[in-house]
Amino acid sequence: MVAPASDATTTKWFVRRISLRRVPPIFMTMSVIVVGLIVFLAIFGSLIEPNDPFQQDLLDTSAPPSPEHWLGTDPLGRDILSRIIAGADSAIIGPFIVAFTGLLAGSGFGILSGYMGGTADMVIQRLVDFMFALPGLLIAIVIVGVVGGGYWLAVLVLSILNVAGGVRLIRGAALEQRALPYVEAARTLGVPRWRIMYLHIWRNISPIVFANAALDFALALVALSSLSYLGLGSQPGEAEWGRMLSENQSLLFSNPAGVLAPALAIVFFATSVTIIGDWIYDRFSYGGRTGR
Amino acid sequence: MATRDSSLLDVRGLELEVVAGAMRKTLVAGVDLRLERGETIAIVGESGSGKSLSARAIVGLLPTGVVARAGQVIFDGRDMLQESPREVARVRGSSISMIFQDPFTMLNPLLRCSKHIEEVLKIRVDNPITNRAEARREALARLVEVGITDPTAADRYPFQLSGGMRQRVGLAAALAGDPAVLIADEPSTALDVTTQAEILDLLKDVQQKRGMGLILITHDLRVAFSVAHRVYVLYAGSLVEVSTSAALEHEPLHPYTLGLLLSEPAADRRLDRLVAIDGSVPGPDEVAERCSFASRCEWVTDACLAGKPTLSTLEGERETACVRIGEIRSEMSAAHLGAKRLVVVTPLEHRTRDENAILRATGVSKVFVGRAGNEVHALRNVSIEVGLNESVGLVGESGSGKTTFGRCVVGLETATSGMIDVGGIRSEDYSTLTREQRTAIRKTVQIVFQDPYSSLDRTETVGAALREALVVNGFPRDGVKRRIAELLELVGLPAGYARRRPAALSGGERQRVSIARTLVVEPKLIVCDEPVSALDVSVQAQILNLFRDLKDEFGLSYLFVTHDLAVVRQVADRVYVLYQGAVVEEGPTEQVLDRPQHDYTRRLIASIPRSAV
Amino acid sequence: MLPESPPQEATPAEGAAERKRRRWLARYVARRLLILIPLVFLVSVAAFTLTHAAPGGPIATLLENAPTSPEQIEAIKEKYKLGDPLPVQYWDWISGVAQGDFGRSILTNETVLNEITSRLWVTLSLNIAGIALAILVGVPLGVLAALRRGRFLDRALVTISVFFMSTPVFALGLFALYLFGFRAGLFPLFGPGEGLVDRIHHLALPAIVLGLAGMGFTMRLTRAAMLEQFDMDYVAFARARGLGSFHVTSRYAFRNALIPVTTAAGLLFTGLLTGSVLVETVFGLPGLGTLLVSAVTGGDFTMVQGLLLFIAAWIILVNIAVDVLYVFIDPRVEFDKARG
Repeated sequence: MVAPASDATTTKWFVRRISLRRVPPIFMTMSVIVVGLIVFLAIFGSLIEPNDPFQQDLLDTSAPPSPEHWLGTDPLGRDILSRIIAGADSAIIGPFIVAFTGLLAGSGFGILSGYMGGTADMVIQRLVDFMFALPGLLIAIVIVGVVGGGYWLAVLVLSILNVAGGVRLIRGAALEQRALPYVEAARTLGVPRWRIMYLHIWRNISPIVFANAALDFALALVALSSLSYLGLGSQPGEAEWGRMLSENQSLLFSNPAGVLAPALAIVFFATSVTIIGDWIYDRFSYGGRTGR
Repeated sequence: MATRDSSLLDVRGLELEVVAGAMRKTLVAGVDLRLERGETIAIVGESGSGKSLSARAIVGLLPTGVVARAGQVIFDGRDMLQESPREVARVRGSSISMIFQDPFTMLNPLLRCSKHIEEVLKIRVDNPITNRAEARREALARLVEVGITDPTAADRYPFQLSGGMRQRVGLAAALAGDPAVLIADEPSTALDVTTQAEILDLLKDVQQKRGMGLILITHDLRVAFSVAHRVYVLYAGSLVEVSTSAALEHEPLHPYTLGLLLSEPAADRRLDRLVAIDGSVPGPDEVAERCSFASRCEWVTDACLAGKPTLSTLEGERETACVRIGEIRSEMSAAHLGAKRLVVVTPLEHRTRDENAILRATGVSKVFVGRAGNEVHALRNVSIEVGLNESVGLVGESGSGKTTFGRCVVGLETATSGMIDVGGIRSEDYSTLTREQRTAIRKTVQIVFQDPYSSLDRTETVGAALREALVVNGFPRDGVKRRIAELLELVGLPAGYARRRPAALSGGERQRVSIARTLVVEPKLIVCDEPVSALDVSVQAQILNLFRDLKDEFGLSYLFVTHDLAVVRQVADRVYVLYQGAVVEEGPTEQVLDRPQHDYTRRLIASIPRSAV
Repeated sequence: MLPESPPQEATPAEGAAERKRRRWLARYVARRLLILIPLVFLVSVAAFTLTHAAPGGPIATLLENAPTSPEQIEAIKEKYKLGDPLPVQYWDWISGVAQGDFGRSILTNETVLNEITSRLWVTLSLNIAGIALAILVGVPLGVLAALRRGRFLDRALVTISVFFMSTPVFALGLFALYLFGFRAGLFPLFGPGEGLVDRIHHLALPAIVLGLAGMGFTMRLTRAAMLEQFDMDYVAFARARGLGSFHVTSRYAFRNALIPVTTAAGLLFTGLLTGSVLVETVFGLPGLGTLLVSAVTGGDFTMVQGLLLFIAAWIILVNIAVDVLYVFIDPRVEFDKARG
């Protein structure tokens, strides 16, 4: 028996919406700028790179920062700044594919599993629970290492392993929605199942879906660069931020700015995307759970 | 009348607001309360009136973001609003304590019941009990005080107890510090009807034995009358009337109180038409400079809009905020008495066997298999019939299976055994039906749910919701727009509401939209699953009237699932009483409610709150 | 967190319930341990399949630095029994494993078991120290952030947690190496060290890096769980009864918040295990992580198989431990788990 919503609960809802806004607006602005900048570099980078990122100069290796090479050169004499700019696209494409696969498969299977229940749910659940307990990056290391594939194999492996988390989260959210009267009313009115699942329920849980995709993106960026750092995933010579760190690590004490700059690029990009995800979640989800 | 100085608790000019950045919203706009020693007062108000928040302000437990803008809470010669949080915490529990509405969420799930009491005994200001064994003995004694005599209950976890038991444990825990004042925030609302009466009696009993001051927060005037000596009526954040219970029940002196009393569906007689208060409760800021009830008051004049009226003493202990009371008192009185006489008994001819029954269910059982494999028998051999243009009530408490039955009828659950016939189609198992049969059933029976807040998809407009229902059911697309306007008009909403989203609607308006949505398919039978129990009393009557109008206009049949006997009295021609999944009594409404045959029905009827006088 | 101690004057019925619960718990643990066997079997099949499905298979690795005359190929095939059908090879391997023989590393010719056990201490100490740090620092900071919700400290802590969660462990390691190892000179730059004190000194910075990476996660989770608790009725009711804010925070909010935090502890363990692969690489430590990377990149298939089995068992055992811990924290769990 639901009592008339007491004013304490309605107020709680109101207060919740404001006090849970974890993201100060200034951070949000900065995050959008960082993401915008990296997207810009990925698209127009080749036009503004000061030097050819792949041009080796064996006469000018491991150089410290100079007016010509702002961040110095790597052990093969390539301009570090140009290589960072050239690495922007692989920092976006791979993580985007991982996050987007997670979004599609997570919504698809998660809502299906949560809404339909029964055998399909049980099978999906068992599979997902198992996958979820797996250490994704560790498995990616083993598979990519043993099979010897490059960046795309790494993206594929991470995409598959990443789906489990999304399915779990979205299934839970869909399960909550399924029991709500608006869904049951649609059922009794004869609204087709696919419409209920992928229109009504999806629309209601989309803040969770997008926030989760943002988090997936950040985690995939971190995972892909970790693989590259270990010499897996990206190929030698490719301009990739994680790989740059391992290639340049020997310069850490002579040219720290040059070595750590790609690391900072990863950190800022991943942090910004996470913050945007948090913001989406806080801004657009009503009530529901406070955290993931 | 005691002087103010000697009052146990004195709240003066309390104003509360919620602050969010630059945004400020008033929640309570000036409340004065006085509680004498050994007295029970009730704060009565609908949702949004600020009654719970006012109570929480007294014990310094306002939610984050809500602050006291002005006022004093004087207890023991000190202003609690000015004291340090540490000092207020010392007063809490030991001097002023509070229990909440929902027994299912009030106790720590990880703590055994007696611990809730023992931990307070250990820290209370007067005579703390530090010895473990002694604290436990005392805790057991306290459980006996609230009627729990089984000592094993003390060692159970809350999740192992029923709602009523939990509320008793909560009460014992709240009383462990032997407070001088207990605040009870809707203590019985979340419970079953019969348990409600027990808890209210227990509260009354404990209050008298302890000579304690009790503040009861409730939305229900009847409950207030049955427990409290004096009543404070709160509307949109300000007090509109203060009176003794008896005097208020006899003659309300504010149009809002009158409306509230009149719109409460009576349990003992059927009214020709329920008196409803039109519109819904405004926010305190909207009515800061006028009478808060002006927009819904039939006696409103310019004087009511000229400024915010304050309480003025009328006679004896009676106070009202109505500026026109002198002029309209006799009119109000007439309306009050008139309503009492408005007794319309409509004894329908009792149809025993209707060949044209729209719903015929025979021997329906439903077994849920629990998580641990245990079986729960929600329905046992239930047979129910609903005739054409007949309104049938299905009464029972939570767990009686009444909702499950309604859901089986519309196919949201599948009965384990038995036969359900809807409009001539056997429909106990939807999965065996053909597409045509399903369509036919869907066009025969629809359902309205209890919770107006989740009955609509909050991401789409009202118009979009109705359009989807129309298009899915084959309504020609070019006529959709006009039809939506018609449907909205049928349920008493302007056509412009089609563009609104649910968030911009009040609870009553949402429920109207839900009803309009069922009308899309022009059904013959509507299953109404507690459709008004989540609504404020003043709005309940509007919706009940709407149900009656639609029945007359379209010859609709209803299966009205409810726990509320008063609602049944107003809308049902015939009643089935469900108890633990089985029908224990059935018959015409008047017969069942006035001359109950079964013990359980008698208990249900006896538990309707009645005034103490 | 200890379970609520039984009341002193427990009634006979209550004692029986306690005994019943204990018996149930024993059965529960036994059942979970039994599941270990099919799971490890599955992992072994997967590991075996993966290493033998690699391009060129094990032979490619074995022949890497050798001149390839057909005789030599045959000799190697003979030595590693690569001529046998795959199921037979699998059987040979797994029956050896069952007797504690994981085979020999192709790269070092040392037994796989010896390689693992001799390097285990590095990874184990890194993980234990890292987890201790992640929990002992992350959880209290999460509680603190929740207590200061919306204020400056909260925002600062939330930002820090987002930062640590979004920073790759190796990048964090390189920053730390540069700042504290090189600039401040507080920690050695490379290797595992000799002797106990020196080893602790060498492992301190990598352990801290690993712990910080986990801390962001525990902090964020704890904060969210605590905030949810502060909204609960029972927390307000506890305060209404005059219980002090420390009591309410610890016995009410925190104990209930521990439930979701514990659930996530399993994820923390696997996350840090992955993290130690990177940390060991950054700091040049001879642990299981670097062993795995060299085995994987060097095509040392026996080593990869052995390590995978070992890591799988590690993760499964940790998850069982977490589930058992969970039973102690939440009295309701018995009823839910009984169905599984």
